[in-house]
Amino acid sequence: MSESVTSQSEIIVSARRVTKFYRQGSQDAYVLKDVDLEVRRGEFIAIMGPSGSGKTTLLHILGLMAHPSRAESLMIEETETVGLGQSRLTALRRDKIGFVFQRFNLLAVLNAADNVGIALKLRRVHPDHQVERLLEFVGLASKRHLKPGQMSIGEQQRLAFARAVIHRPAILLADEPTGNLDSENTRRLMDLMHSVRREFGQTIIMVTHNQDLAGEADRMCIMKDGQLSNGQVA
Amino acid sequence: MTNLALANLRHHRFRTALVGLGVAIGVGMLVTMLALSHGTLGEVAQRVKSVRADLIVLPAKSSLVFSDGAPLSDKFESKLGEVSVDGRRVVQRVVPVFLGIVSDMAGQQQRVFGVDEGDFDVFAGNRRLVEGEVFPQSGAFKRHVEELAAAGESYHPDEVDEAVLSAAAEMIIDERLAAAGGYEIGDTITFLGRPFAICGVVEAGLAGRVFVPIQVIRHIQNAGMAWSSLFFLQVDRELVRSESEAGYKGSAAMTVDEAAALVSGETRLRVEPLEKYDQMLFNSFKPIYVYINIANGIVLLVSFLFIMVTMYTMVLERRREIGVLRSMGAGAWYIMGQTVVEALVISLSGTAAGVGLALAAKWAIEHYRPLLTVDIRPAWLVTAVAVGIVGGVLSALYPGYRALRLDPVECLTYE
Repeated sequence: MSESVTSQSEIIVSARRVTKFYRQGSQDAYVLKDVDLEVRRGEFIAIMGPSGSGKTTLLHILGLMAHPSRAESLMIEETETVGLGQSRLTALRRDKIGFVFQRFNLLAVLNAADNVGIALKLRRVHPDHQVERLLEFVGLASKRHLKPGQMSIGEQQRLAFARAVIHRPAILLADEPTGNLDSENTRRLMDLMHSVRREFGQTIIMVTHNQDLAGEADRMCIMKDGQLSNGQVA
Repeated sequence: MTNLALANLRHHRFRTALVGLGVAIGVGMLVTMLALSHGTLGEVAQRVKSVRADLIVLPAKSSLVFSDGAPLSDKFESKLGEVSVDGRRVVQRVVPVFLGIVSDMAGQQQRVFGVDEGDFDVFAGNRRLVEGEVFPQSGAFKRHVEELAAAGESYHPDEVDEAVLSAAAEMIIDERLAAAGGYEIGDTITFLGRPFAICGVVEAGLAGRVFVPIQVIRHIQNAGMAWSSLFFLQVDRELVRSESEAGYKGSAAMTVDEAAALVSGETRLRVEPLEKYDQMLFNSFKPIYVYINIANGIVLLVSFLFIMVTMYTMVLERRREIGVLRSMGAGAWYIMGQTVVEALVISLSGTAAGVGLALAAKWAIEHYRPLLTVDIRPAWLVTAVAVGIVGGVLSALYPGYRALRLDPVECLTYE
């Protein structure tokens, strides 16, 4: 852990000695090896690395979707998650974290407005006008009644982004969010990410293969063979 | 939760409809079978109970379901009349019945009640004859036979005047049968190879739908004048009180049950109180109901297994959706709730459609087979809905449990 921090309260994500391995016969296949990471509130981090290096696994663990095989500590907003029960982890994920995936993962049977609204309903928040406002913000106001299959790739990813941020999560985890987009839509999505970060002070951890996009982050970390390199200020 | 569940069902509308149809057939069959069996049996029981008598006498060890034939001789008739308590006769009136079957009236086999003209009031009660008369020619045949019997030592069927017999071959039918078969006064019905003229139409609700003079049916069946299929008895109401007379304060010596036991003991015949006939009839059909209920239960079980398999398939197909929901923080109850809501919507829609099917079946049966009674009771509809709810929830539990057990990360990578 090389990044120095001025105050403990500014740290929103803190992972210490996070390890993940899978049993393969009598051997353990390590995906993550003693990964340490600290992320400050409002920071934008890009994680790069070759395929299979463990980037997505780390993102899933930080998003509380997967359990580390071993970890000294994994703090999310001052809550120690190691040893927490499933329901507490689910609640933490629901309240603090938003996901954007490379493949969008929209719900095909719901229209655009419902795809975004469901994220609020899960939190027992009545959508009111928030959905309309956010759809307008991402340029999809006129598509609110369309289902994902009736939208372009770029529109689908903007919709997935809207769903991820509708509840203003403290941490936005993005797993190669531009991997399926052309340059125009990539730019548009990145601009959206920067805007919400500016407006709501969200922390963004983005996995990407794109060196240019990683350059837009505050810090770039490199994953290789399950180990995270020193984060460097971009 | 509901929104997504309904959207998923709409998205797979053909499969949803197919599963719902499976439930509908199960529920429809359950309600229809119950309504038809209870309705028909209940209607028969009510009609038999309408006889103005207190006891019914059948051959010993016989079934309560009437069969034709005449195993009871007139010796029993006189013996029944002699049963007494403290020198007082228990039975005031013995009404013999000779049963037969006419093979096809209004598309259905009909039980024929051979009764004496003078006993018809016991069966008709308050129901009026809407058309015609009660056996206007049977009196002549009765006298003719009595004269033959008086002239000789015994009754010789060959000596009967064919013209008198033909005139006495009369039939009274009830309104429901008349409407179902389009019968009118003067129409003839072939019964036991002989034409019977319809002489009267009576309001429905009598023990039988078809009545003929007992002397004629006995003659045609070569049963002589002395044989009967069963007897109805009217007892001395000052001596015997009804079980159903709540708060009875009179001085009657015995209940109808006790009178039945007394008469049975002295004649060695099966004697049952008429007021309990429906209860006894249903009891005697219990084994059949067990089979019907088992068959219906299996159909329902298959219907709900059908839902379960479908929900399970849907869970497997929607692994990615489950993973996405989990990534958004959907908890165990939400994931389980999705499956339960979908299964409930299918099962309740299927149940509603099943009730609709049962009502349609009732209409069709009563329209095309007007003599059958389909009695759909509200309690069965409530039961059907309860079965739909319970079955829906139960059939969703295992698929829902499997959905909870799925690894969200694996779900997100599901193709």
